[in-house]
Amino acid sequence: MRKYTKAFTLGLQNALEYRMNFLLILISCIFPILIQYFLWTTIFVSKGDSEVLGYNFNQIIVYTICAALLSKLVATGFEYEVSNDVKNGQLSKFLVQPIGYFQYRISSFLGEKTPQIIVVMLILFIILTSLSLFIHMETEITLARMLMFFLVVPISILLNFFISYCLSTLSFWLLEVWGIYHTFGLLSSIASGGIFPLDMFGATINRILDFLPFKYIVFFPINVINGKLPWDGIMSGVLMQFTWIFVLFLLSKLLWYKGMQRFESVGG
Amino acid sequence: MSQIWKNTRRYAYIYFLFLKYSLISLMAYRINFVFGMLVELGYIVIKLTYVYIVFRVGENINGLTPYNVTLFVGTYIIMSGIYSALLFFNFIKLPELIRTGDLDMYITKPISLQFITTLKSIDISVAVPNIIGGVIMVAIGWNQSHIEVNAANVIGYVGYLILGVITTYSIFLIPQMLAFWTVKTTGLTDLSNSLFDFNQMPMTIYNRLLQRVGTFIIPVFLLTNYSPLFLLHGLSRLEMVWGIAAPFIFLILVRIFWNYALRHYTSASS
Repeated sequence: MRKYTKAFTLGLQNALEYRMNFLLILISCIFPILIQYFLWTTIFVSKGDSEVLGYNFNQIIVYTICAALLSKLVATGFEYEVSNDVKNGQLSKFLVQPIGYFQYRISSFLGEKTPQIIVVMLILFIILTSLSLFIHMETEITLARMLMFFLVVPISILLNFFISYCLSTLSFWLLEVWGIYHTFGLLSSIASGGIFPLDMFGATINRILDFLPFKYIVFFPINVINGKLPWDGIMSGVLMQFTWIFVLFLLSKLLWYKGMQRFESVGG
Repeated sequence: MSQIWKNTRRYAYIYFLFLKYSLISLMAYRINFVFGMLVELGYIVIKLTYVYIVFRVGENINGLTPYNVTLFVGTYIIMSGIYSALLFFNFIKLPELIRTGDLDMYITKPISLQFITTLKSIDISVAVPNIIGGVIMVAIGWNQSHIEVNAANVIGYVGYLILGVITTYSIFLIPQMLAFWTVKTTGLTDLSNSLFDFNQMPMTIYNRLLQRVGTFIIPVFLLTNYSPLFLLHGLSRLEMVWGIAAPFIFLILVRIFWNYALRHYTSASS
């Protein structure tokens, strides 16, 4: 167990070392938020309705802010390291030592995310409380919902870890993977609700998204906090999150087993 | 006069060589070519979600129909393709050349330093999906907005697009040149590149202040907004003239700034 605490600490130190980088990433969220703010202002003024595609103006702005920050928070990136390990044969280092690669990756990932979770949650807490104090919100952002949100987000991060961990096994079959990882990241940011709320896309697209885990990464946690989901909906959502984590865990075991049979330890 | 003509031909030939070598290296690393296209397709899908939402809302936005918006976004996609294929990779390499002192190599070459360092790398792979996708969207938007296809419209549209490329060159090169003083510019690069995304939606959605700033001070809206606005008769006479003059004004400013910045180059190592 101690070696994995060490990996956790390494991830944590890594995040603290490159704190400026993460802050800059967060600051770069401002522009997309601004663009959407003006877009929605114009749409609401042009349309003259209080509701557009199921959202009132305040709700959509809260959604945009939360989605922009959350998608930066849940982002992975270790899949590139995994494929490097596979490509350069570094993976064999882990095979001959008494350390589990999976346990190592997940501890270091969680270590890296811990300070980021605290920072993003703090920012969101400040933004949301000041918004609900200064402007009248149609849906109350209650303290209970906020607490639930803080519980749900780490589960979302874990879920995204397992998606990336499954994806990272691609490098056993393909020599170069960066283009696939990058494109996957872009598409998953749409499918998880990182740009627009998923229910705006209409019934047909949502029927497809219901079969995928992505909506539980960004869309679901925001629905917890903005009051769109009733409490029993939240509970079944959390259940779905754990179900997906379990399914993806099994899938990753299978994929790694298949992948290891092909692993040749080049270079190493 | 013949001297200028000779020089232009020489530089055109050199640019052709840049293109040729870029293509050769692309063919050598074919997987990067495929991945470059794949990633750009991902970005196009993101841009399309905005258009899709506008269609779902179904209402005119500040007098623009969803098909008008398609025309704007199509132009934005074409320009993203041109920018990332011809300029982007050169610009992000410039601070690296300054930091490592590799700029020395280029200084010794019998050719304009600004020309070779800012135009050398060309990556066609990122342009292919953007230009195909963008042109299709512009065609749909053009047709459904019931704009006549005549010489004046086509020349106006393409003309403002080319002027947009010149403006793009100028306003995205300036932040990189700060590397002559600060060495590292990564944060600034990300920030200035995200300014490009303000063209994601027509400039008419922004408030008056932002529109003025984005037109006259940091002219990001000149990049992709003037072509569709010209077609939709959304440009005043003053704006038409500014749209033609500004690219050259900023190009001259960049040239002056380049010469000034170069004097602060101190080389490195060795």
